[in-house]
Amino acid sequence: MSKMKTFLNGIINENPSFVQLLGMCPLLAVSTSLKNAVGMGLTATLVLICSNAVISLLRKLIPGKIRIASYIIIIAGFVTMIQMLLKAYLPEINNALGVFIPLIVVNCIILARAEAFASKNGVLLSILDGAGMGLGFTLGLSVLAVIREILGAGQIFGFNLFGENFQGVTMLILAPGGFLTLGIVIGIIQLVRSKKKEGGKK
Amino acid sequence: MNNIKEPLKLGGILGAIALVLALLLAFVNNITKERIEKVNAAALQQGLFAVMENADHFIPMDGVELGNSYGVKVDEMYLAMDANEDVIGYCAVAKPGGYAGEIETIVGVDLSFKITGVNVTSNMSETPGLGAKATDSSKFTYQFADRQWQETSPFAVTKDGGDVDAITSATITSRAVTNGVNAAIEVMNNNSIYGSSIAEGEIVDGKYIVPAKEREPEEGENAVEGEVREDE
Repeated sequence: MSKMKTFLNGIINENPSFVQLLGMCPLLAVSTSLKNAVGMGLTATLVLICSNAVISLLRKLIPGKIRIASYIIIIAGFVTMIQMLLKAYLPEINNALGVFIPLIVVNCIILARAEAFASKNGVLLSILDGAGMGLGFTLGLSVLAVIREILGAGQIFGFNLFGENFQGVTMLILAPGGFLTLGIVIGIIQLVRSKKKEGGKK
Repeated sequence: MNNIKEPLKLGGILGAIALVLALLLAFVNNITKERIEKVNAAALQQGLFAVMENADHFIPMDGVELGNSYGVKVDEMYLAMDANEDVIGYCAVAKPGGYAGEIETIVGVDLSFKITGVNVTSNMSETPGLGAKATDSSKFTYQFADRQWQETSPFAVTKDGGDVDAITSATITSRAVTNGVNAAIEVMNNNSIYGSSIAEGEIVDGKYIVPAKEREPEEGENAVEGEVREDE
């Protein structure tokens, strides 16, 4: 697979949020505002790139029997380091994301990429895969966040769009709104994909 | 013997990976520790000034009784000082449990226990668009400003029979912050120092050491105080 293809794979064809349906918990929980979504997405991307690179480097040294345990240690290490750096340099993002940063450790996208890609491919490809998947996740988060923040709170990036008196659809900000928005977005994407396939056959 | 070798080898590799990461973590911790403390201290100062605009500086109090009957964690208490080193009020940091974790709430009162301000810091993870509105003082906490606290009638949201209007669709957050205000003031009330001047020698290492003293109820202080003490 070419480098470009590997990179784009995560963003479009195998988008973790909309196609692989991985990492649903942070996707639903953090997509209430665009600022949090981008912060979460980029943090996860950074962890993905680092863990993919290291796991790819060590793939021949780590015996198969303890690979999952090793991956978890490596991922947890990177997450903890990145949280310390966020606390020191971007405290606002750290406060906004709260408990979801440590939870990146158990974000299945990261473990899935380690197991499915980094453990079988070279360093450069693994880094590209991590970046692609991470940005795909960021894209998924952002799409949901834009819909939910605008319709739910009448804001975008914390700025009021429709004036003080706008009463948003509160439910969209709450957990059920996350599920509904995700369902509708995936539905639309699948519709477009199936149309494309049909078109291709003709 | 062979079947013992393999687990040892696997354990060794896992241990080596863990060791390397532990070293890396120690390194990152070392370079970020100071900065994290600075950031937190700056955020706290900002929060304190937000609730006590007239203050010149704040002195942390050491040895205060932090227990309270509202079941809310009240972590820290400060003396608010003016430029002449006179005490003009108290501030306390309460951490009531909200919808998604603790909500750091800073409460300031003057010496007569009239509230000078309440500030919900961004150190919380309430839902953006709902509970997170509590951090915007024009949306919620303005209701506490300039009000006199009374031990017999603590603040409550309208749903609980009080007169504090909750944030729309965020009653849990509103209730938590309201409770935090009550708890913070109760703790400040239990540890107030009577009078606006503090003697020399009471400040050690930049902290005010609360003297162990028999409390003499002053005029205007109600009798409920004694009951609260027995409960503890």
